[in-house]
Amino acid sequence: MNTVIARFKDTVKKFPDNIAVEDMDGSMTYRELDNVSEAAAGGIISLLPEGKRNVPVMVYLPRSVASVASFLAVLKTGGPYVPVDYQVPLKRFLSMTAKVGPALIVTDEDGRERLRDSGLDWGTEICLYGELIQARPRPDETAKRLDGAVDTDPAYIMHTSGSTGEPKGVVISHRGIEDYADWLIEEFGIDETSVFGLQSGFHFDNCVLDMYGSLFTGGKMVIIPEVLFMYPTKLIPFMNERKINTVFWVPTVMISVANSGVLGEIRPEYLSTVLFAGEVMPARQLNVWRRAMPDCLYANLYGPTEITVDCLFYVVDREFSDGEAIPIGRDCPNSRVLLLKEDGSLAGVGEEGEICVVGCGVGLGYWNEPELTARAFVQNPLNKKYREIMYRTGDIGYRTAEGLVMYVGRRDNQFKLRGNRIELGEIEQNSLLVPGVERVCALFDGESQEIVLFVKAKTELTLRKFNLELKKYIPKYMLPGRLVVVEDFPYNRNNKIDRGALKEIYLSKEN
Amino acid sequence: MDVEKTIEEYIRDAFEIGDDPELTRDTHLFDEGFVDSLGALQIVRFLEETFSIQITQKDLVLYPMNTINEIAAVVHEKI
Repeated sequence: MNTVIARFKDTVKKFPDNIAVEDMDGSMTYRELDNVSEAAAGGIISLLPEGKRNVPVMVYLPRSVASVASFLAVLKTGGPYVPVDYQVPLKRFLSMTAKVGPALIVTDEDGRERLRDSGLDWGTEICLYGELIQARPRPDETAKRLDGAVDTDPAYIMHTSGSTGEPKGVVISHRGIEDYADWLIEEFGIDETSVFGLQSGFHFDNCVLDMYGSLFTGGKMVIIPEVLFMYPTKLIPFMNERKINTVFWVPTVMISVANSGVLGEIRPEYLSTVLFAGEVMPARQLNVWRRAMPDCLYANLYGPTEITVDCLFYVVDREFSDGEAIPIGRDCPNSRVLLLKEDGSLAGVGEEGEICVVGCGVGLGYWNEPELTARAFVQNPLNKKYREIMYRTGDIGYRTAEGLVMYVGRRDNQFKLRGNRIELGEIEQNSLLVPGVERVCALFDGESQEIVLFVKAKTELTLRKFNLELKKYIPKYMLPGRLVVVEDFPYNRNNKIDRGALKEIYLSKEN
Repeated sequence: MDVEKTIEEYIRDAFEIGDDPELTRDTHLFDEGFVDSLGALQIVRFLEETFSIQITQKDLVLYPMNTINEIAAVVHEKI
């Protein structure tokens, strides 16, 4: 009963004529969004296997009003939606599809053509959004399905980088979204006057803040065209034209706006709430924002895809010098963050530990991956009395005497680049698919913020041609920025590539 | 001024492409990996300064600017 659709319906009743979502081609009011998604849900239901619950539907559309309508349509059928990046390499999409086992893929004509022309066997129905919304609504059927839903049912599945070379689908529940949205609405005073400027793609969980922040309150979400983020001087006029007052952006975008100097010339005059998460936000660029826009509220949020968006937050409440680290802050309500030392005990003040999360925001696991789920979603070792699932983020942090968590770094070969979570293993596994490549090792150069790939190969390689091939398997943001051809690798005693030694050789050659 | 030629020379020089024959005026600069997304900003700055034009947010959203010929078409509209 208690689903995000019930919450959306409340908003439709209260603010039927408010604009819910807007893109470059048009917009939809809450009433329209409700009607269109109801029709599409009717169309989807006729394709679902009889008597089955929680059947995922993949949505492969550009960032648009149509995406949001499709997500709602899928939710109305009682199943989780699976947003797929419209730029995704098709082979990656195929392996995601095989793992998810969706009832269908919702797409547009260009998307369908791309899938058909690929010659790959998708093993599932491919449906056009434009046709689904012409279907006959089946309100009795959707009502029945939603009545039977429980709040621990999955609402969405989002994919994140996996070290084995294949992305993993994280399952998030209705309860998780509702708790998260309740917090953000209360904490940041979100209401029907809020206008979100969406930066994130719908396959990236930051969009959950903008989407449900508006859908639960009657606010508006403006989908900012991706291209504008490459041109900060064009972005700000757009924000003013659309009266955007609330943003949740990755620091990369905040940094590029700050560095462009545009804030000295023109200000986002309606902006009042500036939230960021996804990677470390440097104080230097934050200070540029604060000087230009001193009256805005700024908050640093933290959370991996495996929980419902965020579990820690820090509202910037004092001055920071340019080099100072900004805390990732304190626990969101209904989340508890434990910092666990290697021996499983709780870290004291100032002591480093792995950031672990319990609470109903924690995801339900990885879809169709029981082993990977068991490894990452574990019993809280401090609780011997009952079952309490804890997610181990792999991030290291410590708590200050004030109770604020400070981010330190990663435990493994994972890192963040422009807000995207990347496993070096995924780059390495896929690099081996490039013809002529024998062995590879990827390193992340934090200084230049680029991925350096060491390759032992039979043929001559250039970065451009190598990436042209690699791009078939992994997204663009995972492509190496530098290619180093080596005759052989340094090995450690277990005959594994010695990453430490490789890094030293690389750095010594750099200088 | 030969707009196409000016743009091509700039791109070959700024992105260290040299005389690579694989780059033509109809090559997708981004898909083929000749220019990355940060390079796009550089190109727009170059166009605005060199041709004394303004490329607006609407131009960026409405017109494809992925090849030398496509970029030149936008410039021709403005000068």
